[in-house]
Amino acid sequence: MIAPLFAAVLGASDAVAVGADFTDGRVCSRVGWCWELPRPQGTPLSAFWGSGPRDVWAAGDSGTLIHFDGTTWSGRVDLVEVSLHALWGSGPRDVWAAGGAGTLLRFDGETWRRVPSGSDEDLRAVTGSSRQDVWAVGGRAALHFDGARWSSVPLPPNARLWSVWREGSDVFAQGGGLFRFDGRAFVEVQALDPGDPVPVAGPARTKFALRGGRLLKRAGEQWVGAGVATLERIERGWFPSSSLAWLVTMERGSLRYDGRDWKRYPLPEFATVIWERTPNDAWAATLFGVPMHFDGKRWTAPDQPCARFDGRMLAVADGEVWLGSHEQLCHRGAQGWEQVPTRFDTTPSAIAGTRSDDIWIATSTNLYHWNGEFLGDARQTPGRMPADNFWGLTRLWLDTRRSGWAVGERGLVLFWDSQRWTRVPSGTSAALRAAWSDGAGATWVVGAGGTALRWAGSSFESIRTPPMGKGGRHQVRHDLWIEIGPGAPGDLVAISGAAPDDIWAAGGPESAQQIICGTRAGPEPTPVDWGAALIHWDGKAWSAVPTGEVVYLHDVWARARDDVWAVGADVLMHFDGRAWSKQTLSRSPLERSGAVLLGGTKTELFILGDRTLRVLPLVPR
Amino acid sequence: MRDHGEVPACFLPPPGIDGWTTNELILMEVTALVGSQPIDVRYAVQYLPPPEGEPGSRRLLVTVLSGPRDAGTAWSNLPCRPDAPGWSCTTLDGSPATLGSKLECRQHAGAPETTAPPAAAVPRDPRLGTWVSENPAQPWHSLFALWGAAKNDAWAVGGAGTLLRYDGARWQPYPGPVQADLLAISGSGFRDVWAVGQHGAAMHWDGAAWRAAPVAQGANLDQLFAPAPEDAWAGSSSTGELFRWQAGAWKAIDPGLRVWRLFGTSERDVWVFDPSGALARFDGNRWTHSQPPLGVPVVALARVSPRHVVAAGSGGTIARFDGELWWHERNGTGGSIEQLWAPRRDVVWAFNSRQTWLRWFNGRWATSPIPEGAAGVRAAWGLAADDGWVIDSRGAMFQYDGKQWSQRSAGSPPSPVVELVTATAIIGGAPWVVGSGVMRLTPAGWASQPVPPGLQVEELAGVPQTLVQSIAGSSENDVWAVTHARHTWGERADATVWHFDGTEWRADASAPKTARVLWQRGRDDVWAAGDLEAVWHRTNSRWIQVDPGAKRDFPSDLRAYAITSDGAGGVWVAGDGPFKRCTTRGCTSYPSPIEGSEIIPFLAISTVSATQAYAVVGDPHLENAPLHGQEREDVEPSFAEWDGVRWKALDLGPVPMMLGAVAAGRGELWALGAGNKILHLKEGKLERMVLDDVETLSLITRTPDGVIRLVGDGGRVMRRAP
Repeated sequence: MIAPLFAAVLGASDAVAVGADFTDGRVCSRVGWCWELPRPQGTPLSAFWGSGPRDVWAAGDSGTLIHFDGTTWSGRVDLVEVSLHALWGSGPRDVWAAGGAGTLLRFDGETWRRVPSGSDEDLRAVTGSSRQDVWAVGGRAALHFDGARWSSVPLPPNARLWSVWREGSDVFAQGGGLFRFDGRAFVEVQALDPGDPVPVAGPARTKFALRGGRLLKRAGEQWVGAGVATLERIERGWFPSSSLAWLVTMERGSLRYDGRDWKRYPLPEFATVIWERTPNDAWAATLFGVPMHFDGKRWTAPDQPCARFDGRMLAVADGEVWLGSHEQLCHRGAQGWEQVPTRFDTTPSAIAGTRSDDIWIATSTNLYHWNGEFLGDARQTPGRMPADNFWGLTRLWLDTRRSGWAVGERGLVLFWDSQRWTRVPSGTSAALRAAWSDGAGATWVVGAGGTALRWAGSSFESIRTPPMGKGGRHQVRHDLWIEIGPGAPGDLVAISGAAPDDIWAAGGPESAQQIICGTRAGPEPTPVDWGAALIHWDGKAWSAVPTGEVVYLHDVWARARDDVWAVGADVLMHFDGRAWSKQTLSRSPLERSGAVLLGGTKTELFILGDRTLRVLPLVPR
Repeated sequence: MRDHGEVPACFLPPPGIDGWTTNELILMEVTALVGSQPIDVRYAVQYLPPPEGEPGSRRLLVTVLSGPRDAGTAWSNLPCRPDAPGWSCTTLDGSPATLGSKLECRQHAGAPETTAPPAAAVPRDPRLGTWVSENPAQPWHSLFALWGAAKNDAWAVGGAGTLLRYDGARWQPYPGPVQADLLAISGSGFRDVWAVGQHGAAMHWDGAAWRAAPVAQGANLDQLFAPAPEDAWAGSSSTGELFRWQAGAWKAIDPGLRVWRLFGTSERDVWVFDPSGALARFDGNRWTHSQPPLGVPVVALARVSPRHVVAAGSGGTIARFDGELWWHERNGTGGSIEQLWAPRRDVVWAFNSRQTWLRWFNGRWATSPIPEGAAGVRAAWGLAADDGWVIDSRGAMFQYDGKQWSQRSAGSPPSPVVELVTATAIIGGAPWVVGSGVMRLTPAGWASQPVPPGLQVEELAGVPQTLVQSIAGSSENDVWAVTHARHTWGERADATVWHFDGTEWRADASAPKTARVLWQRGRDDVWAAGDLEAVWHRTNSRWIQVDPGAKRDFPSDLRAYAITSDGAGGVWVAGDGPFKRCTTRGCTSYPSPIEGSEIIPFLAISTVSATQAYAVVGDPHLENAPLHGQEREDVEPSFAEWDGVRWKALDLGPVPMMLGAVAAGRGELWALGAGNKILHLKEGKLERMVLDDVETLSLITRTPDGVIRLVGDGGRVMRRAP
């Protein structure tokens, strides 16, 4: 049933990308979705390398490889199927990237090509002295490139390499000990006793070590405090030469060592990697992969038009996408992203709207209306809200300016009639999670325990839904399986219809206790095909739609009968009228829950994560 | 040009006021019979020094503010005419003098000074007499409203037809055709500006000239909405009338309710709120009525866009209209909002009557520091969030540059402000006024004085209101004052007694903590009275309790309100309990002359001699809330008189709630009541007056030279000659 969606994600041929992909100012996946927020992208980065201020590469998780042309970053989030860990080049037309499963990529000035490494170890570091002398190491692999081919270099049995560098004519590698290349093999020059501070990698290894958040320096046989003037915990350090070092502290500080003194430079965000090309041109990346630049005086990060938006707040209204958080609302319209000057007393839980001047925002106990100018407080305005003190609003649906639904905990349903929100009895005490209406009479509310309520003109009637999933054990990874209780009622969290007789609801097994995780030591898994994260209404009854290994879907959007989208934590699914297909979404560390909400305009599909937003161009219908 | 003859005595400055050298502006009201009808005519008279090169001559600017309503009233019909020998008058614009005319009258050098008594036909109106604003002293300050079509083309209007034009750099006087107080101004563009005011005054700027276009009915117009050329609306919150200018004439309009606030977003969207807050909207064809959208009376409105109107209601309510629905919001501060200014959707200013201005920015209301010397705001205008103007209740102008407000008064130095006044005293022969500040009269005019630390005008964020509550002194270098905090619910904290040596205030830690009022006979001879009507005397640098006061569970049940000389070396103390006369040896109580006086406290005393004094009784809890139009005609006797043996009631018939009184001599008493009503008792006859064109006045004082002064919030001082 599940077909591979979006064919050819992974390049089987040598050429995995062409140069033109790195100039369009966007960071996109092969299948077409692009990073919208954060800017320029949100996948963690591991390495930078550049030949000049207008030629900088960065590589990171899930095959991310991006390029800076002096103005903007462009590139791919999934150039290859594995994470990339290291970059080095001898010049703009000779750049190497190394990554998982022995992956080595080479850029010739126009195209990145796969180069066979002969290893399946995760390659963690790459360095060199010329086109004919490149080293790559990782784990048990130490590889050398002579200008024509890569060959393996013997290692002592205790080596588990994660760094390689040159010092004069010597080549050193570190990991499990310190090793020097003797012309034939790496030999151990310094054993590492357990409990010793780990000397830093790089030429400064004889001077510095990091331990317990402190930088130590060598004083004879002893390690003593290095005298770095900070009380903050030092998290990371880079020591590319004996006279240059960068440290990053827990409190967003950076310290630069110029061979004599340490100087402190505040960072806009905590940095996971720092790379310096010249003293006034250095790059770092945030935890979430946003590049930051150092100009010799200060670090700057790209402006984020919508900082700290919330994973529950996505609305698409009249072609504009809206995000929100406790602190702000922001939306992207014709003029780009714009912040709306407003704040909420409590954390908002949902946003919905029909136009940019008709946006509703729910908190647990209140509803606010943005009319393009100001935020109206329904609770504060006499007669605009039900008199009882409800709480637990979680989701909104607006058909038109004059009709909308809000649902929440304990069977809470409110209806907007253009003047006031009134309480509508739902007949259930189940937590209600989503509402959908076609604005012409068909209105559904879904929620926990497989609850599906249909509006029958004056009250809701409960419609039976099928169990979601057949139950059984399923192997997720080679060392992990999960078990679903048989016949569990679905926890419905989303609903969307293409027509009154073509409605989709998404969710998954009702509660966490019904998913039992185990390791390989557990019972043997039973065959797959137990998942049904979707149910479908055909006008007469709800039926479960098997989704294979996809256990849980957070949102569904029925754009048309033959164009339905659904999103789970790490997966984007599409229904073309005949079958569902899926694609993995690489998860950013920003996204605790992964992708959670969908919203669509006529030309774009927005995928909201906890603090990320991806956008996928759609074929206009 | 017309020769109107000479100025009669009724235009001469009152005795004791050398108006000729100080540019005094005096408001006077005269009653006379025109035909068989008694007519009240109000004039504004400004005395001008001699023109250059004519040292022997004097000039007057005379404006007839109101008079007979007959259209075309000729100057010659008015009861007081400038027809004294040696004077000649011309209207400024050369037109025939009539109601609203501004005349310049000139006394020719060498002409004999007129000493003629008032003409029998035009006696001075005993109900008002002649009062002069001594602080602020300049007519400049009587600005009421401002509006502009551009940052460099704005107008401000004010009292007596005052008109100022702003060119982007400075405000300068501009001649206008109207002499009545102008209360509102608005327009639709550079060539379409309207201003309206008292007695039906209305005038229009067409880009070249102001032309008077009065509303025939003559109401006091303070509401104005001018959405388009040839379409203007004017209303009166006092009479509730509404008028519309169309096709070159004003027509009365009946919106179906009484006009209190007039507002609109376009020609086809005119709003009228009544005093209850109910709304009538006019869409160009018909009126639609709705219940009070704010639930309370609407005080101020500001338009950001057609779908964003901000409204402030009484009690500090703020609501916004989105084009369809009203949305209330919590402003989180309390207090009343008098004016709004909303230059941008995310920037709204709400001006409180007191010292908290609110700024809404980025979705939050926050208080904003107000500029030094600013009182409550009566008008606000601005075209950009970083370029705003306000006029405060004293008529001073302040400009906002996006970061801060600063005073930009036109021409004259700022007058001292005492936002809330509580007490006056005569120190070294000069009057002092205290409250939220301290000011005194100097030879150069009223001047601010240093204040004791810790004053707080309004209870805010849990910090109670703290004012100077009483003051006394022997000279400007020996002044005593009491401050104490008072929460809005009336609870009073311990008092602090301060001494001012001419340079700084120092707290006197040895002073009684319950002292509330002070009186000083001389250096090192200070008296205090306080809770429980206890009395202290300070001499030899020590406070000695003369009388411990009564025993009550709650000191607030028995308070002293006044202490003053008894004319015989001791003091009188008045308060909630019986009168007490105290010497350094102790106090003697005197029975109340007024039935039920145990619950009618004595508020003030004024002593003529050991055998004559007057006292005022009243309800102290209404002390801070006497409003125009809400005065109470007390049926209770409100005065008592000491004859040397006993206090007896002085029945003057129904009088307003009395706030204070001063004795001007044997048998003569001046008293100030609620609603700016003034009583003058002399030789057994009672005269009544009212000052209705100034702020609420709450204090009355008399200097040894016989000058009576009335003092109101903001530091307004009105002076009358003996």
